[in-house]
Amino acid sequence: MSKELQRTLINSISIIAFLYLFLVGINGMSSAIKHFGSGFADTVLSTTDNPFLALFIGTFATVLFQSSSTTTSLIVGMVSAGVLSIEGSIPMIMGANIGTTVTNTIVSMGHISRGNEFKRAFAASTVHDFFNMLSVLIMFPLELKFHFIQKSAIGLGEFLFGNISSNEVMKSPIKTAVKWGSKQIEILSFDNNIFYLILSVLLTLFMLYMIVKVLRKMVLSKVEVFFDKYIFKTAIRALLFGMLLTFMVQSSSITTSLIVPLAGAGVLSLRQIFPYTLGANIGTTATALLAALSLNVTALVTAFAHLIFNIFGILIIYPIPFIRNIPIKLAETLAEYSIKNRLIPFAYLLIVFIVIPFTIIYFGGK
Amino acid sequence: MFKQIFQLFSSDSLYEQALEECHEMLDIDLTMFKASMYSLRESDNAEMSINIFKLDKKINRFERDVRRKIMTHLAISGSKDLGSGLVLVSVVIDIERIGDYTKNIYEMAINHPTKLVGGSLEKDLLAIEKKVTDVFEGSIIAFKNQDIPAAQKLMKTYKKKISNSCDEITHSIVSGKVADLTTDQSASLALYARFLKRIGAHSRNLISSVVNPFERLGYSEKE
Repeated sequence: MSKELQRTLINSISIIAFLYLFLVGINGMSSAIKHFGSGFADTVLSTTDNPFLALFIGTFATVLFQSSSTTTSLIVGMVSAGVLSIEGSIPMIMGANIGTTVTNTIVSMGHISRGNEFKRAFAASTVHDFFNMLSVLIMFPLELKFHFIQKSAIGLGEFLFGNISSNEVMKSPIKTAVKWGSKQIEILSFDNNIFYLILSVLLTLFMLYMIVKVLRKMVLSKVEVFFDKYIFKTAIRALLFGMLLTFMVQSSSITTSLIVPLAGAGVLSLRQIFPYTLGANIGTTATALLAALSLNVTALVTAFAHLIFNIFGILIIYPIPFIRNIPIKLAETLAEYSIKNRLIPFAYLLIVFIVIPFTIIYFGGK
Repeated sequence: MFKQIFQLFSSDSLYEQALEECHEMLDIDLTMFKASMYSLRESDNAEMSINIFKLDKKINRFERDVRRKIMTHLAISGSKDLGSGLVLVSVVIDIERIGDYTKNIYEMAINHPTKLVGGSLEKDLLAIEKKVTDVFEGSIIAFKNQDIPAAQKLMKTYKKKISNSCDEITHSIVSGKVADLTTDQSASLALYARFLKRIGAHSRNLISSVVNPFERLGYSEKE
């Protein structure tokens, strides 16, 4: 057996093991929360009852985790446990979409000492920020008024499963194996619910980190040729590529950060990158869908809501040139100001991703 | 579209593609070099069997392509090929310059009324032409095969047999020691010697990448 084949085999087995443990972690978290009882559920439900607060909790949590997949996986776990409603989870998911863009913006700061290179890199990263903010700006009030994302996600759930309930579970041998795994964690935590929850969350976070790490190593060297010329010639190809690559590495932070140095060097233009980042928005929804598959139908409907929100965002913003150009123009303008005053990008990062969410959570929670 | 995507899946890494393009550039350079030498030295009316300007543009396109591919490769696949990637980005400049000098030789042939003769310097000039051709051809082979002993030998040949000999021709013209050449012949010969020296120097830079670490590209081998 060749070394290359051996490596691929080891990596593939590792991925399966990590994926299993990730599902065990999510399942354990959901199960531990359920053990806390209705009092705990009521407290969390009342906290997240305020959609504005939920929106910024989603943003701030994702900024801390540097991964929307982690936040959305935890959200579906909480919905599955019944401490978060589908309705309450949607603003959080929207917030996670905003928070996830922080990583590539931080990556672009590495170019700050180099004038035009920084301008291109910073614009390429913030175009994702502005798109996600714009889609929240459009869809958040519409969702509050009409609940169209929630209704679409429930509609899809009903179409596929008939009945939407946390008691409705997808039966499979994998699910049985996952349940067994989470039972072992419960035993390991000496039946202490707090330990059980902490262990499960840590397992989820660590396994997701390992999955992304191994997948990145396996996938990126194979797909680098796709970053050259051909794929980025049309928007639809770039979008599909962004979606597939993010699905393969399970992290939009990685796929959107990868193109920042290429944008900085002028290999790819802002307009070529834009549809690719939108594809990444769709691809990143796969992790929560995967996590939800080991939980219940309510969790899956929440994961659908994440997918639907991102698809609607693209459908509303991208086809109309005037609206499509808003994130591009905002990114270009911010980059222009940022090379004139290097404090601006730092202030932008701090205010948008830390100060605003933290202030709203701090004062809104009181 | 699917055919192109399939081709992408089965293609080499961007680094390998860039290396392949460098090899192709070198082959084009050699064709241009031989054709331009013939045009200046053998033909009275600057005969040229190839479209040297078109080939020069092709080389320029390749240069940009190599840079873009290496940049993308390093950005996506990490630092594994950092050293060799930087080497390729550096030597592609030398390869492109060789193309430029061969074009310069042809431009001189166009403007020179007849074929260029070396007069009392003819014997030296012929020897230099042969050495530059040998070193350039040898450098291409050594670079393609990453042949360290061959590269070391060629680097020594450049200093001893090309650089000093070219300077001798230029210096003897500038100092007025050559009396049998007309003004246009003297000017052309001095320029030609300079172009040959530069082609030799860029060939040396190319093979220094086979022998030296990145920081010593273009310099002689450290004892």
